[in-house]
Amino acid sequence: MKPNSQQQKAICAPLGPVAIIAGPGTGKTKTLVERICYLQKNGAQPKSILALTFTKKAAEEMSERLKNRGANGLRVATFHSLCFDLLKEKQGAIPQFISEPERLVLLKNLPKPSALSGVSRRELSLLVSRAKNLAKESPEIRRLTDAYNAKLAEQNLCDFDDLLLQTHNLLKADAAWQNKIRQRFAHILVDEFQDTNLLQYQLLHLLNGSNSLFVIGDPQQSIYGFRGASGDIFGKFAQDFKQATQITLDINYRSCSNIVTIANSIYPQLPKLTAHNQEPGKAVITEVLNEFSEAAWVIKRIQQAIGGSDLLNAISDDSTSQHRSLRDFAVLYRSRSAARVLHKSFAESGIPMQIIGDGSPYDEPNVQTIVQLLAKIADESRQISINNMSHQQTFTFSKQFDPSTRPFNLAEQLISAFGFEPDDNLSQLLSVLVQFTSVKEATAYFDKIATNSFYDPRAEAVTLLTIHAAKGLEFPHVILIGAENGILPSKRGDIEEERRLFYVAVTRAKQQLDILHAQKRNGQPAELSSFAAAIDPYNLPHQIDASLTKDKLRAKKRQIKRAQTTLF
Amino acid sequence: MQHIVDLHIHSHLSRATSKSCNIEGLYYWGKLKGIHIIGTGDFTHPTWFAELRDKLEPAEPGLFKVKKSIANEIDKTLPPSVHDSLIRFVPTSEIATIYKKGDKVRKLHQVLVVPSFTEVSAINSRLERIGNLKADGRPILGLDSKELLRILLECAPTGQYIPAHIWTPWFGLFGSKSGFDSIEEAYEELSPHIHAIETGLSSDPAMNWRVKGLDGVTIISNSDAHSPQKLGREATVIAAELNYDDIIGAITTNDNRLRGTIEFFPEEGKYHADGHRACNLRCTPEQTAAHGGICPTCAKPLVVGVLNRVGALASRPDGYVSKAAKNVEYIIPLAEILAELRGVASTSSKAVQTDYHDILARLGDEFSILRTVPTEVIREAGQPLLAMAIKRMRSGNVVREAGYDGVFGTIKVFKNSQERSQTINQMSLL
Ligand SMILES: [Zn+2]
Ligand SMILES: [Zn+2]
Repeated sequence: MKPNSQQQKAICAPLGPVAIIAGPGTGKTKTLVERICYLQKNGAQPKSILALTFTKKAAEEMSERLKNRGANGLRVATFHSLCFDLLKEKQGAIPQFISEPERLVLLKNLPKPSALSGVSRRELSLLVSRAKNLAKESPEIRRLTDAYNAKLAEQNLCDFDDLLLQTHNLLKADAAWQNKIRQRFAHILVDEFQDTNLLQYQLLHLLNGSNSLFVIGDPQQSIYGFRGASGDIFGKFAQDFKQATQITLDINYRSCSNIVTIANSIYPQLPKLTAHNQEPGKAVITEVLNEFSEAAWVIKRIQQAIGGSDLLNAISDDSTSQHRSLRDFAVLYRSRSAARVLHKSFAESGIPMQIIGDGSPYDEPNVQTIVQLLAKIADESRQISINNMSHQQTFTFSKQFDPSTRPFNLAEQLISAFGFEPDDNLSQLLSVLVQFTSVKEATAYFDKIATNSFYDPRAEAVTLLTIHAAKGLEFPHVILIGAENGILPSKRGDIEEERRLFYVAVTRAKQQLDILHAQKRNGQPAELSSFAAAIDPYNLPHQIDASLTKDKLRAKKRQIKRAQTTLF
Repeated sequence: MQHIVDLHIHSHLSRATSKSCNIEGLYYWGKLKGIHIIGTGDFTHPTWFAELRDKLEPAEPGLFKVKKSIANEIDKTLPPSVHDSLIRFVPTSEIATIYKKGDKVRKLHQVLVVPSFTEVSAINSRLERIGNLKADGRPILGLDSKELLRILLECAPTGQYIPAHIWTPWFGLFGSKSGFDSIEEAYEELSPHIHAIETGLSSDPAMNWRVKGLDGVTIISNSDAHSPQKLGREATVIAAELNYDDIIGAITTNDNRLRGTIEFFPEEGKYHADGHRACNLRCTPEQTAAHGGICPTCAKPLVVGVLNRVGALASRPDGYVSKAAKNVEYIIPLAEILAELRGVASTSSKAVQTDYHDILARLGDEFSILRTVPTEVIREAGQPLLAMAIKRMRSGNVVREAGYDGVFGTIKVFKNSQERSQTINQMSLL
């Protein structure tokens, strides 16, 4: 499709600082790609162009799109991969990275002031990372960060934040080097600019020599405050580059018109998006009994839409949605803790699904222990880390086993030595081990799935994910669960960031949007999210999940029981 | 030696199955029924696979037998008349796929057969990365069936991939709702690796012969049993050496080793005719056409059954006999015949069960009684009525009421209760 007039303006904006505000579904990546093509057409050397993204996946996707447009040879990088390469070029080598589990152990073992006593390890890890990315943190966190950095240096290790930090410091300290790099990248473009944190922003300043700086993003989709993203980075940019060209893209090509209307009503004071697709979609708020009926509702909804996945519930007449496939659905939630019951119900249903952000079953602690020890038995020089066991202990322990035993039998011995209760994950591990004759072979297999994504890319599945993980994605049918005060908005979050999260969730949907809220959650009365309640019911009607009121629930159970006793 | 083979069954770890679908139950009922080669079913389920490793041991190449200590205990509970029957297991699993191809959502079931636990393990490690193997013994994978076939070929070069109950509307390769019109449409360049298809309860070989696209594949039958009592409802007869390669060789080549299939009368299957269960309406394909495919009661589309669908894909007339035709034997499960003779509705009634076990103790396993024991011998064993019923069954002289939209059809020996009581009276005069 040809760029629309707004996109065209952005693509051909004069050289110099440019800020593009691009709402959801307005063709942000396309505009960025076309801008690069435009620069090249007008004489920019491919090597002089640097395009920055925030995730590896986004970088890969952009490279792919550029290649399809015939733009090759330029640098598409994440902030981290760019800094990694720059540091390597400057210093010849990069210290070893600390693994996430090791990092958590290190943080746990550092002495902490009482002010930080109740804070979980994961949260500490996040706070330290924020501090290293120049976000304002408390003096306690600052001191903890210093102690943590000292420990890292002692072991000659670094973390991912150090990549940025060291590059930043070196560029600042070494003017000649900075000049060299500045000359290399005459044109810098940044995707998802709203996610930039202060450290990254300062890096941009250090890299920027020619002022050909093109940033694009959506301030309403800035949802990484908890990681240190600076909420008002577009404002800062406007202040620092007063001569910058500003263009807004507001034609949404993703969602049906009523879904765009709903998105607009979340920010009544801001300029509106215009829907390109005038077809009306379906958007409904449904009230369910509790978290269990919420999960049941979601599963039933999806089964209906694909016409049943089982002989027991083959559905003969939902012919309207016969064309939906599993990958058309996403179930979104504010936090993983709000999705516990959902995850469990999906696992029991057998419906193909992928939980984004979840590791493989091999990350489960007991399975991980067996897998790691097998690796240690295969190769005693291998460094492994098992909770409550020192390196020396794992070494001595693994020595008791004969490496020439079949891996299946070894695993059985290990499971009984640890006294692990047999469960599904362990029997699945055993099931997979039967095929291997040597423990080396088995270890090679586990190494392979640890480095590649566990899920086979051919798998079609319903996607279950947090709103954070859904950013940048779109699905024909989005189901948002837990739209309740205390969850979305969450109790502790910044209310404006929570509103942006709701906005991101709504704008993922192309044709169908279901928003669920429960009367009770975890046994406590719950109340519809103020964000959802504020939307005109004319655009977002409310309904009650009638089929799951208590009496009907009981009748349903009886019915299922009867169906299961008439075997075929 | 002739073996009765049933490759498609389910364990107690599949949905809606009997708790007695364990190795002991399968062994016990396998002997009563007279089946020789039983698929294990469900090998993708980690718990069932563990049970298989625990209770089975290698026998002839590619086949497994129940460990002696377990087998001896079960043999004690079986009538001596079936003691010497041989039972072997072969690893199999049915897998459901859901995927989009050519703008249509496809839902297919297929049976995988492999000769070793090593290969089971290799397949499981590939499939666990695609879907949840723990929720159901028949897992649902969001995977193109062609890719599933590719995975089988990569993990088990001598493995077999058999499209299951190919005509059922929702889950069959040729199903009217979410299937394909040809093997090639589904499997493309891998189609030559499809050597056999399963008829399912609602179709018989004669119906399949009408479809030219099936000329190159072997027609086999299995029970799809969800309880051990249903083992061998349908089965395949193979005269081969007792090892995996020879038995599978019969299936891949369709040569003389493959003797034929044992079938339900296809009308008994639950998707034979068209209709609407909810509206109590059964129609023939002609009646469906007259209704324009729409239910006159509820105005929704009628569920198109197997007979109709065969007609749509067939290029040959009803009654056409394939050059590769094998022997076809129609049976009614013995317990169903006994229930009819007793005039009771349920096969699980106590009287029927007592009759069943008494008769087996005198005459041997069920398949022998249904297929080969001369009717005079049955009569002389004090079962003149049964002898007459089996005679009628063997000659196809039965009363058929077709199944539709998930409702099983009924096959009766007598037209009605009047004929039944008349016959009984006549018998008692003899
Ligand atoms: Zn099936
Ligand atoms: Zn009807």
